[in-house]
Amino acid sequence: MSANLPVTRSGEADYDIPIYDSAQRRIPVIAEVQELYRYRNLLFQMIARNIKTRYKRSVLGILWTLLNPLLMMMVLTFAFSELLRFSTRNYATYVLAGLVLWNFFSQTTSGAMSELIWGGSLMNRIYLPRAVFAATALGTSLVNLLLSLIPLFIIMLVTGVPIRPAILFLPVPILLTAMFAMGVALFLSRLAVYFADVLEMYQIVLMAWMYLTPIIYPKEVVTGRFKVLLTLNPMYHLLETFRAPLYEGWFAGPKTLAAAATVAILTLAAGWWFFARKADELAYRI
Amino acid sequence: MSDPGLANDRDAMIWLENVTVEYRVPREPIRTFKEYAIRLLKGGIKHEEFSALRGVSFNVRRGEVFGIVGHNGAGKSTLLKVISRVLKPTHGRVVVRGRVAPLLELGAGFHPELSGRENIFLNGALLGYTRAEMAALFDDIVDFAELEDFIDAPLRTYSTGMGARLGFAVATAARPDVLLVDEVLSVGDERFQEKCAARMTEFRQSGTTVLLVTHDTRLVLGMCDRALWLDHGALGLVGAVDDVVEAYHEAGHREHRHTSRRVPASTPPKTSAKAPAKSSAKVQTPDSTPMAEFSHLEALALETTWFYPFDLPSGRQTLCQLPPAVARIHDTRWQMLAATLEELYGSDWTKLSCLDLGCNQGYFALQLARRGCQRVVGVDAYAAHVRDADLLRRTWELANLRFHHLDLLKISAKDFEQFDVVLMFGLMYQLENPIGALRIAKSLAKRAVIVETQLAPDLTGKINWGAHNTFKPLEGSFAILDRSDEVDSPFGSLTPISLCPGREGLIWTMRKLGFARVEERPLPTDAYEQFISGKRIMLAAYL
Repeated sequence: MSANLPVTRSGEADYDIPIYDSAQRRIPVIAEVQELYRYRNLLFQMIARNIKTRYKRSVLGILWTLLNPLLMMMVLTFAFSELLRFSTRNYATYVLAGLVLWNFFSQTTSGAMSELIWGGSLMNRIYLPRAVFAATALGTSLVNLLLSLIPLFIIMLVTGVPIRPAILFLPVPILLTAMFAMGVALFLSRLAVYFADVLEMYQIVLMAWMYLTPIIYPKEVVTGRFKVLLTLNPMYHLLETFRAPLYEGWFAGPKTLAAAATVAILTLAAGWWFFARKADELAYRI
Repeated sequence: MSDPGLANDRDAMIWLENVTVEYRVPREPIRTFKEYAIRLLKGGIKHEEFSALRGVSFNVRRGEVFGIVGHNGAGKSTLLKVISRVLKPTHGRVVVRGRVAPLLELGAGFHPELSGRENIFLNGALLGYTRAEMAALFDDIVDFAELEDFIDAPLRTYSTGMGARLGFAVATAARPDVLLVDEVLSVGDERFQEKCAARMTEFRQSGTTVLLVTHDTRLVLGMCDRALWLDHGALGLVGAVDDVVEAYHEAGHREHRHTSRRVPASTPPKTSAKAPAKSSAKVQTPDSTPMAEFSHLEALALETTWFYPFDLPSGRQTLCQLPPAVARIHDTRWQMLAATLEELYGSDWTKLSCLDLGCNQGYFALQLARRGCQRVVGVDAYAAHVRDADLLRRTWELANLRFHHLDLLKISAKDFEQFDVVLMFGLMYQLENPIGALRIAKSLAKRAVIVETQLAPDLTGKINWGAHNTFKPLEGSFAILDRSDEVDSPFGSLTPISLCPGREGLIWTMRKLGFARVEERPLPTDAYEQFISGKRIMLAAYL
């Protein structure tokens, strides 16, 4: 890099040496996106680190990601079809599809907080786009989600649930859930920097939320005045959008899809705004 | 100064104008959401403004080595953070040109389960390099860190020295335009430190600007072109190195006299008025009494209760947690050590290099350094001890002394140049693997290893091996001690089990390790009781 090229009066260099100017007015919400893009290699490396360390630690390695929802599904199938005698057809596919999406959401949101707290000591020493931690959690859970689609398809084949072309639609609900999860993750991350107990409290919220969402029980169980709880639950709409192509072999209704898309876009926008606005302050706090 | 200096001056690399950093902190710390909610209900949370930097302006030019001095808490690291973009200034403006490489802590961001190779790519990404850039730099990094044979092993298998080498190699893989150094050269072993220094010189010659934050004013005088003294967050003085260091010390002495009360009139306080005469620097008004570094350090040392009675430069002594009768053990050990070294080297120790393994709070290393040894290094596995020892080193401003946080058993001969004398004082019986430790000590010593330890009852004789009536000679024994209660204490053992040697067993073992001569050191006339009763011993093993 040549050092002796002239520099314009506005402080902008006409060569490629980066200039940091603290007085530069940038809109935080957009600046954070630009920085995240500039640091995309870091994002990739951190996701790779998470995946690699996860599989280096356990003997079963990658198999564990596949087995975990399967075992959970088997326990639930036994409990619900045999003990509680729910007569849901193809319960295994129903519950596994729900679990896979729920895990994606809960891993992303909890993971974002852990990542940010882990990265605290780094953020105090070097500049990093603060959103990289939530994005890492999202990327990691996305890889896990894609991996756990494999056992899901196997179960569908084994139990004779037809795999229809509607599954080609799956990227849409996955994207919408990712947006929603990212919005929630960013919101929680900022809180977690300020308060040490947010992660712990969130685990309790997550558990309650999971039982309030028709994942392990059929949605028809919810009747009367509790139905309003369902319509207010964003995860319900996302879940329906995701589960329909697998379980019904067809798309979710336009109302469900619209609700899912609206809540995803709004949550991401609000979460991003809430986080990016104070992104520069986080290093003061952590 | 309304125009960014960078715009007019293409050689200005760092430019600060009136930079203020304020922290807004709750008057009482709030850590949890629960506390926050309760406090909020009880009638609000009171905040305090705390300014870490106040109206600091200066600039640094291309290729300069610029020193920043100031006592603890003067805002040095905040200043580095502002320049490295970690903190945004509350007021004022910072402009930095070019790629900034922070050398704040070696190896931050490494992952123990990943291999060296994977960690290089991860760390490079943290520093903002692309994958392609890292791939191009990879061979150089491995080469510089001397880790060719271990690059695919997980990082947790690396010694501390190896980790430090890798961290430095990655951080400095590509020549940065601005290098930020925060006392970092005291990490890692000596040979490697020289290598780091060489690389920094190389950078500087090719135009890198180096910002050096340190307590060590000697380093500033030796390395920097210009310097800045930060005084309670404000600019004390910026300008020629001599002036800045002088002003900084002046302020220190003033404060020192202030604390030690009533200075005889025969030593009139030097005014700092001559400082600004030499350069275009500005001096802060002296009414905000600046705190001296060394008196500040002494004050810190005096606040703490120590395991040893340390002498301080002002003639005071630190509080010692041992009762006077027991504290005499330190005198006896020092007398015996001094006698041993005098036998070997006479009274001139200026050519002597010593390593103190398990240095604890650094008592013996400090004594040796104060007696003028050329090079003294103390290592301890407890970070708290190393910090404490380092406080005393800084209090005494000893340039011939270094402390490192290292696990003795992870030291490889590659980490250090050999030392004339290696000490293992009060350490042997704390270890699960005392013989391994002796081997390491021997590999690091040129002339002698001096071991001082507690002793356990010994067994010697012959063991009947049974059936065929064969006999094995028993050369001595190590006693097994339960240390589970002490694992968390820095004065105990790191492991729940330790082996305490018996006298014969220890002497035999040391001979067997290949020392030319092993001798028990004679006791001084008024030796501490444990030595007289044979519960403790000092052995010198010569190579």
